[in-house]
Amino acid sequence: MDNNKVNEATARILLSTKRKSRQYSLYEIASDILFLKNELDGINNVSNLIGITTGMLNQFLSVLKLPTKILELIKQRKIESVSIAHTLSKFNDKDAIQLAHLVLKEGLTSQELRIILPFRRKNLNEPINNIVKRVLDSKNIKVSVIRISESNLKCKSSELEERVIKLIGKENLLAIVSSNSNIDLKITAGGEKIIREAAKGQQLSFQDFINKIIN
Amino acid sequence: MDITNVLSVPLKDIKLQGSNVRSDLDSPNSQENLQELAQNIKVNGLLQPIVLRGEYGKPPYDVIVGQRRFLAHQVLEAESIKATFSGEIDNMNALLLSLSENMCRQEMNYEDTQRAITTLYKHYENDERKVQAHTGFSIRMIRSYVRIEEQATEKIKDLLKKGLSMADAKRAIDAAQGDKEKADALIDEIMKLTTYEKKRLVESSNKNPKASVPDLVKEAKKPKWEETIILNLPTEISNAVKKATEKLLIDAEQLAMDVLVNWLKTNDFLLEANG
Repeated sequence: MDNNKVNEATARILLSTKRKSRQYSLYEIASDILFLKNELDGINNVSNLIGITTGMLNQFLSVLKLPTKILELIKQRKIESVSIAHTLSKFNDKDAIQLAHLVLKEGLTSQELRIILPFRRKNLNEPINNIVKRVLDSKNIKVSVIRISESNLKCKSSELEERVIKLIGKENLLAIVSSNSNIDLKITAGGEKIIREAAKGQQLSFQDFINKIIN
Repeated sequence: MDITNVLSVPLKDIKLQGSNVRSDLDSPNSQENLQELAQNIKVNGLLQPIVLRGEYGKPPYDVIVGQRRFLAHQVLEAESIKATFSGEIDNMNALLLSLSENMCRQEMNYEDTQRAITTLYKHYENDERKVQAHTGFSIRMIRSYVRIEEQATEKIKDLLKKGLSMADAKRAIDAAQGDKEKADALIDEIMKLTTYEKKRLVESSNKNPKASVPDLVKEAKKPKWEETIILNLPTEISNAVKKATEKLLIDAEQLAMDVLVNWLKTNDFLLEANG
């Protein structure tokens, strides 16, 4: 056994297991874990040395099973989540590549991937994009409700609707509901993000920005 | 029981009689693994002897631990295998020995695990902690196996052997609220749903236990709105909050919490904790 190499690999892994402070790519860490696994005669010994569970170490190792196109993305550090890489490794290569692109372009999360996986296994003949759409469309919709007291509203309801649509787009305004002397502006999470960014751009707090819209 | 005394035992004297906990050896995956194991034994020899039930010299012997290694020897058409003997032990101890070995190694299938856990559960007179001590499974997992054994219909049990997840079986049982016919109808539908829809189906059945299966499925397929309320404060109040947070050096959320607690106490909705 080459003790220097073992020490170096151990140090690299210890420096890189936490995602936020990771110094090396998932590919490099997985390669180091594999090296230690072979040098130390098994994953249990690596686990004892590094203090990480064998389950977690195996998740890192699953990175090495990914197709080359995804490994490239990992080497470029475009995919940094071990949970995403591990879940991708459970799909066939073709699906995994398409899903990896959706992770990058659409922000598909590891939780969504984990939910897509069993659904895919039950629907092997469907194109993967249909599977993804079916799963994502079945998610509950996150709605932000901006509750405004009617007494604070200084413009007409129709005028408010126009202003909000102009700001966040029609697709992000889900409903305007009046009840119990309040007006509820129901908008998508994306709509809320747009309002927060617009407020920031005008150096106003979210509250002050809403007050500006309703005046 | 002396399992350190390793002997060479003729394969013909060994008959599988069910002491081993594994029954998944016919699956394609297991067959593939068996071929790999046989190849490995051919190259490296048998590194760990198997454990046989009975006393040496009184065949036939049953395999308690090492059924795959024994079968790999059959694949290799070997004449004998290295083994140790457990002596005459009862069925429960044979099961425990076999279980402790197999739980630590290749994952067992649902049926074997179910059989092992429920057998132990009955043996230990429903003491989950003793089952946990022998199997390493969490109490929650043990309860799931026991509950499925007690409440699942034959159809669901059969599907579990074919790969239905325990989570889906539990969902069908929960949503059926004790109606076995409904559970059977539900399980067919649950398997077609996404995880988000499955969760909604169980929620709907809790709210409306008498709902029909088609109604539950229809509700499950409707995504719900998860609302987060953001209260808009009039400008003057917003300014006052800002002033207060700056002066008191606390953030707006903390201020809101303090005000709420004070209001609840003043109006006798919240009693002050003693001492």
